[in-house]
Amino acid sequence: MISDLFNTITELFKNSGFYNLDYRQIIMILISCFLIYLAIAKKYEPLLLLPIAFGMLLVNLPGSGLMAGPLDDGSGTPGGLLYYLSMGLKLGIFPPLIFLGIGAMTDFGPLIANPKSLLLGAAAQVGIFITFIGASILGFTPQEAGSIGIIGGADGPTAIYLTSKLSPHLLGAIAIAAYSYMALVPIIQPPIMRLLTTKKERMIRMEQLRSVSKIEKILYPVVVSVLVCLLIPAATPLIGMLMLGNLLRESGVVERLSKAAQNELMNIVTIFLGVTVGASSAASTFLTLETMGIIVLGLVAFAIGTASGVLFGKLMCALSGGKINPLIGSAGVSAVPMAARVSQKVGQEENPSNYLLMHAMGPNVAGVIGSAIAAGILLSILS
Amino acid sequence: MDWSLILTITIAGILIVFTSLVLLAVCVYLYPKIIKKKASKVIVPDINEYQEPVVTADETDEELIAVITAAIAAQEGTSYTSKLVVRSIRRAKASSPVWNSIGRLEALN
Repeated sequence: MISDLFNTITELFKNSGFYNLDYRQIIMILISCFLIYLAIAKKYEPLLLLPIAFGMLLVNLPGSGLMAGPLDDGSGTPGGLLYYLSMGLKLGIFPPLIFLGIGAMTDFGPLIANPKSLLLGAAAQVGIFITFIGASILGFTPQEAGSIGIIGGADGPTAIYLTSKLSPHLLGAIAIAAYSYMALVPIIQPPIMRLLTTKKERMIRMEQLRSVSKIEKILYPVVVSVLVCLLIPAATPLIGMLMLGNLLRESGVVERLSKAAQNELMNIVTIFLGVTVGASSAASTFLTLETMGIIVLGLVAFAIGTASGVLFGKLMCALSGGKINPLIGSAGVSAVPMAARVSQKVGQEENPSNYLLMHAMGPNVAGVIGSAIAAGILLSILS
Repeated sequence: MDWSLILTITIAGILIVFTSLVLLAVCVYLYPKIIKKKASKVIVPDINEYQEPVVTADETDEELIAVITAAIAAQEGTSYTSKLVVRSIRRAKASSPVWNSIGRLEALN
C-alpha cells in the first residue's frame, strides 16, 4: 500500500515538468524572463515583446504539449492550443492582418506630397540584399539567407511573413532579432547617420510639404495596389491588405471598419502573433549557432539599410541642389514611426528649429512598401 | 554554393525594388496633375463655405483662435497655412438646453 503510494508519487513526478526540464530549456526560460524585463522595465516594443517573451516561456516548460499537433493514431486527440493558434503564422494569415491595421493607421499624405521619397524607401532596402549575400557566404541556404536579409527591412510583419514561407524553422530567431533591432533603432541609427553626413547637410531645412487633396489620398491605395500587385504578385497579401486598410481610412465612409482595423483587430492579432512567434522558439531550434549568426547578420542588415538610405539621401541632396536633407534617408528602413523620429531628433541636434518629421514620414512609409516588395521578390524567386 | 544564383537574386532584387518604386513615384507624381482641375474646383468653394458664417470678433483669445483654425484646417484636410484665412470667430448660441449638454458631457466622461 505504502509502496503503491510511493510509486504513484514517483510516476507523477516523472510526468511533471521539473523532471523533464532540460538545461537548454532553463536557459530559454531565463532568456524569456530577461525579455519580459526589457519589455516592462525598458519599454522595448512592449506591445510585441511581452507576448513573444511569454509565448517563449510557455513553450519551454516541458510536458504541456502546447505546440503538439493532433495525434495521428486514430484516437482523435486534438493538438495543443498554441499549435492551432500558430496556424495563423504558418499559413501566413497574421502578418497581412497586421498590415491591414497598419494601413488604417498610416497617413500616406507626406509620401504623396513628395513622391521622390519613394526612392529613399527603395534605397534603404539595399541592406536586405547585401545581407542576403553575407548570409549565403556564412553557409545559410538561399531560403534562410533571404529570411535573414529581410530583417534589414526593419518591418516585423514582413519579416515574419517571409520567414514563415521560406524557412519556418528560423521564425523565432528572426522575429526576435527583427523586433529587437526595431526597438533599438534610436541607438543603432544615429551614429551611422552622423558618420555619413556633414554638419552642413544635417542642417538643411526642407520646404514645407504641399497639401494633399482628399481625392489623391483615396486614389493612392488603389493605384499602389494595382501597380505593385501586377508587378510582384507575391507581394499581394501584404500590399493588398495594407492598402485596403488605408482605403478604409481615407474613404471616410467606413469609419467603424477603419477604427476596428486600427484598434480591435490589430490588438487581437498582435496578441496571437506575439504568443505564437514566441512559441516557435523552442530550445531545440533556438539555442543554436545559427541563431547567433542571425542576430549578428540582422544588425549588419539594419546598419547597411540605414547607410544606403542616408547615402542615397546625399545623392538626392546633391542632385536637388541641397534641398533634401540626407537624414530623412535613414527613415527608409520602415520601423514606422520610430525611424522618422530618429531623423527628426538627429536633425534637431544640429538645428533646434528644423522639423524633419513630416519629411521623414515619406521615406518611412515608402520603406514599408519597399520591404513588402523586396519580400515579394525573394518569395517568388526562392520558394 | 551557387554564386551566380545569389548574385542574380541580389541584383535583380535591388533593380526590381527600385523600378517598382520609381514607377509608383511617377504615378503619384502624375496623377495630381491629371485630377488637378477637378480638385481645385472642389476645394475652393468649400473654404468659402467655412468663411461665410464668420462675422465679427467677440473672442480675442489667440490660443482659441489657433485651435479653431487648426480644427477647420483638419476638417478641410488642408494645411492651415495654405489657403485658409480666419477673419473672425463668434460664439454660437447653444442649440440644446443646458441640462442636456451636462447630461451628454457626463455620458462622454
